[in-house]
Amino acid sequence: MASLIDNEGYLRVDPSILKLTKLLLLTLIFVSISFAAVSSRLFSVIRFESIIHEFDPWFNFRATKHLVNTSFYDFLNWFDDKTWYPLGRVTGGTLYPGLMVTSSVIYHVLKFLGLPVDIRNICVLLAPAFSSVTSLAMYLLTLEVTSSSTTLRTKKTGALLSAVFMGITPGYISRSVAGSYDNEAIAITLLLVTFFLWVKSVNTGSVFYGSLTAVFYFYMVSAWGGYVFITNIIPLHVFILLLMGRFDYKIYTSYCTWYALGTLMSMQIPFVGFLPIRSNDHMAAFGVFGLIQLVLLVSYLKDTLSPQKFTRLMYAFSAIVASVGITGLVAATKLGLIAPWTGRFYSLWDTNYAKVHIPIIASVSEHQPTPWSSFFFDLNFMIWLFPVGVYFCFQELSNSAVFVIVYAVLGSYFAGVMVRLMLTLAPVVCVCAGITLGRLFNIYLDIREEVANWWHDKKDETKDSLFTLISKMVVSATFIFYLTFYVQHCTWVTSNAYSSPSVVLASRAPDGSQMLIDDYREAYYWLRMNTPEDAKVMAWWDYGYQIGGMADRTTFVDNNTWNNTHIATVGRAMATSEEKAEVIMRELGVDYVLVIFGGLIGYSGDDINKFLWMVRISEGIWPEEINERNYFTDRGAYRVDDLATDTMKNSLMYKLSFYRFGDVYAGNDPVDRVRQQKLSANYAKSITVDVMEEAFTSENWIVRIYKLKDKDTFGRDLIDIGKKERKQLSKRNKRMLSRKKPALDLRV
Amino acid sequence: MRFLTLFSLICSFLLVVQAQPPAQNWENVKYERMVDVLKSYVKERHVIHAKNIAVEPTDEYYFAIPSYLKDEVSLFVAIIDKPRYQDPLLTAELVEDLSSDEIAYYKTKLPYPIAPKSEIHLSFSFILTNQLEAAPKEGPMGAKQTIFFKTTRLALSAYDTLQYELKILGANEAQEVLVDLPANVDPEEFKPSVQNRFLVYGPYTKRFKAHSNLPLVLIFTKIQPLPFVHSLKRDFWVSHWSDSLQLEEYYELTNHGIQLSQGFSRVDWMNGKYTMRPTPVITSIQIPLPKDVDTTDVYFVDKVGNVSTSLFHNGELVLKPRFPIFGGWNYNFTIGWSNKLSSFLKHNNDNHVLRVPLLNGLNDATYENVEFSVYLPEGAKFINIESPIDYKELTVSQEFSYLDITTGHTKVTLVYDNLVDEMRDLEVLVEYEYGLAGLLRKPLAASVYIFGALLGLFFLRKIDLSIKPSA
Repeated sequence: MASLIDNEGYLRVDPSILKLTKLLLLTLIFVSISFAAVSSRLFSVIRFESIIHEFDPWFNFRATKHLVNTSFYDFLNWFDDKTWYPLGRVTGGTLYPGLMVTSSVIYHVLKFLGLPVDIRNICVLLAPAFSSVTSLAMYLLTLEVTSSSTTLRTKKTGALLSAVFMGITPGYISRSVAGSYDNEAIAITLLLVTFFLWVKSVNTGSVFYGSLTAVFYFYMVSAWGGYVFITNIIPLHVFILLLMGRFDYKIYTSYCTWYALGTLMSMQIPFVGFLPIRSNDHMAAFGVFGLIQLVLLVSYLKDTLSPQKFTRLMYAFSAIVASVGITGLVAATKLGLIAPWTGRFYSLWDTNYAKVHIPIIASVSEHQPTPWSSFFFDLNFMIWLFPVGVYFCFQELSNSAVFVIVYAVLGSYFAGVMVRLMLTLAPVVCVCAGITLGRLFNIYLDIREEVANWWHDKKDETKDSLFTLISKMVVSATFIFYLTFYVQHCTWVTSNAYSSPSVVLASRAPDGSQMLIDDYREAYYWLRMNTPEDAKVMAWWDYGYQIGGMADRTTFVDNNTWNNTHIATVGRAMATSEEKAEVIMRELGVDYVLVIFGGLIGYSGDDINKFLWMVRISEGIWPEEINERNYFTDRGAYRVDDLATDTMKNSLMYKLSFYRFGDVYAGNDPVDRVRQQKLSANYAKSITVDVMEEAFTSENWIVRIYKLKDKDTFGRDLIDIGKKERKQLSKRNKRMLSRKKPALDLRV
Repeated sequence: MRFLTLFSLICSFLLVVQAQPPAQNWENVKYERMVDVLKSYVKERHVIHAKNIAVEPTDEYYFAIPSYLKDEVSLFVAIIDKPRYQDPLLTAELVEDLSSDEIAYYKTKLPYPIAPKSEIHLSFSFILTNQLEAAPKEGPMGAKQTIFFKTTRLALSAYDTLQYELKILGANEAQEVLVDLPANVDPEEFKPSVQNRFLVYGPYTKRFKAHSNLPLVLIFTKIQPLPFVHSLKRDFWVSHWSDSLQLEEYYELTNHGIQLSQGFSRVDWMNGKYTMRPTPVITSIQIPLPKDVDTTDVYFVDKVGNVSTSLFHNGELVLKPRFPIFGGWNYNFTIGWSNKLSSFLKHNNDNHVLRVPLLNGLNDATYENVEFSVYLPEGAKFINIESPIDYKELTVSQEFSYLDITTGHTKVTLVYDNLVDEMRDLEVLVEYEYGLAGLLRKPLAASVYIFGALLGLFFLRKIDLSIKPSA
């Protein structure tokens, strides 16, 4: 008998059916969440194509292809001579292999199962696939955090809500759309799984969960440099619990298990190596590991010794520990056994530090401090649910709630320092928002009592309950509106802000149809097809990975900015005059130079706009030669037209960008549409390039490629030759040239 | 050792001795030669009226070409026009033994011995690749492309010729490059005239001795590019379940036309409006689609992804490469589409015959290397393949694709070299056996595996892995 109506009029259903229904509903909800998470990330694939986005993903993709085509050990031993010419890069030892190994395992498993999916498609769709796992992990984490809650009746509501939030929050989507094949794509998933397992192991004190935490921590270490976040947040959590006097064997077991196993395992990653015992990033974890042993010892002594003896012992003990610890730390730092405080560390505390001391870090847009608006943009209404959730955690103050609080504080701070760290804040915001809304809906959506009153027509309570009902309805409706709005906002943001591959640009043709601006690929493919296979291409480091990935040519600097001097050398070649640049380029062995120029169609991310960073970075090494001030006019304006400073006009980058730009306008004054500055036609004609020859310019002039000319056979200076040739153009010729105005067809 | 050296010496001596021209059994009464240089390769057609002047009937006719062309002959067809014969196609093969440094011979086997004094009409058509060469090799953007073309002036025949005429199509404003003529030749005698669209030499009515090898070098203007495909991989995927025949082609295309003397200047390209008029630059590629059948799922990609600039026009697929392909520039790309399988397949019970074109592709191109593959469905048994022209190599292998769990697709590959676009109408026949058992094999195998996996999961769930003390 599945269901019956009992004598009180209630519907009784077989519990096994209820259980089954619950399971079915839960599965259905998860399927829906996964669907929402994956499908909202597919905008770029549908609008453009299955393509790797942006910059870093191109390296990851190239490395993955290398891994798939060779063996794992070959991959770890990979010395890449196509980058950082002439230095090369020990790629196998300087990357986090987790992402590549993950995709290659998926590739091989699918192949084994009879599904030989192209590796590119696996890479493109990895992030969306992992995002649905992230939502599941988020559900488990929130459920675990609220598991000991006494006030929350239906814990799953909050957990499911947080899973939905996580699935579609723009803060996370920004790094995990299809094609954004970056470390973060899997790292956030691993972060949440590790946190879930950690909270679970603290709650249970189980060695099994502690070990699992360590395993996923290891996976995280192999996947993303941000693992340091876990390395510090877990000790901090434990430390605060110790301060709160919450020490117990559960915490001891789980921390020691995690630390011992996790550290040993993380040292297996070649790039990490001995960092866990040397670098300052890992000192907190090590310190807390020692501390927790002391605390254990102390609590044992406290049980066995008399109070007076214990107090005396404590004083002596803490004095010894403190002095030994501090001298040890100082001595180790002095001896160079542990790494000194790194620049990245300082820049986390002082947001201006990088700008002043390390321009190369500051030059990356995602390392800029976060503007306020982006909090709302990325998290929408969760941003104000977040403090409420933290408040609830304070109310609860269980071990796991403390974890959420610690995470919330650290996450908020770091998200404020760097835009990209919004990513690590998003999960905790989702947890808190989930807890808040779960609790709210627990109370406000529960209208059983009121309905029952009304149904049974209890006269005295009906009026009262009607108001309660209405107020409950209003609150619920408001929040349901917010939820709907949230979905809309997320979809809108994802579709408009985060779904552009940035390799292909979309624009609108005059008739309103979509038009693709594919200049990058046009130029990269030209390089790949029509230059010698060992050609060396010099470009600013932003394009290094793309040139390696799409053009398959040797680059000098790339997005793995490990050698500041080398980058500064390239910056110097770009920033200095043609004569000096020629010397530098010949020394470096340059064959081609690639610059990005957006002046013709108004593409603002071009090299002239990035130029100041090249100047600043090279100024850091050669302050006597490059001076940022010289690139600004006397009145402090950044000009590229006739009024630009001589230093600017003579710089190689400027010349390469504007060479023959005037000819497009056929006698009219050319306009730089990015800087909105008008060059005079005569001036534009006078911009010359002598040491290089234009080799290719893409359809919309976004990419311009120049070839370094061979040295003159007679040993003459190339610039002198150019000058002489121009002089030989007689006046008549000049007149003829200026009269000849070919028909203008401007392509946009 | 010594003996061996001696032996090889004797052998080579024998070979030299053997390399003597064929016997003078024939006399060419009339020799008409037509050369077509309209495309990026050269087509020649020789119509020969020959008379047996030997005393005995003979069934062999030797056809001569200059030796340097030996490896450039793409398609050689010999036909007997008279006497009429049911199967006019003659077998012709290059006889390496007779070839000298200058002249190579094709031996044509006539259907039956021809009696002395009787006349036959033969026609030899062949295509020569790699003959047109831009000269000068480089020039500025927009420069005229002049083509340097070397051929023979006279009837290079194994036999004496009585009457000879040479017509060249596609080189009207040709200029002759003066080459040293032998003393006994009067240059005035060989002045060409332009008739219709032909450049005509002759007709000359006089006796040309056998093996008269006199070079003719022409320079003429050609506006069209010289497309050249280094490698073409052509894969047909046969699927009976979805009734589809998918074709994917990978091209390594280059232009043998005039190269840029300087770098490519975009502003000159924009201002010169070169995309609007014919130039020796490949700015678009026309690919005719199969006629009379629906073509779906057309794509055009290259190694960095989708190329969004392609359109249909009059049953042709018009591809616009990412950049204009100047002389010496390369462009690799992949295109593909699907057709209904039933339009290409004939079957008799379980025996199927697939009839697919040898080439689709460009309207004017030379193919250096073509790998033609047909992927038969999993479970199909390959029986036979028939190619209209000689192939270099035939391989049959297994290839695993989506959900191929048992044996994989049978991949039949033919390797050709030196093809031209005009072989588009030729068809390759593939015969294979594929019955109901084969048809059901794949879904059944997949289901069995899935069932096994689920069963495994079911049993795994039964195992209690908990380490709690038993209650």
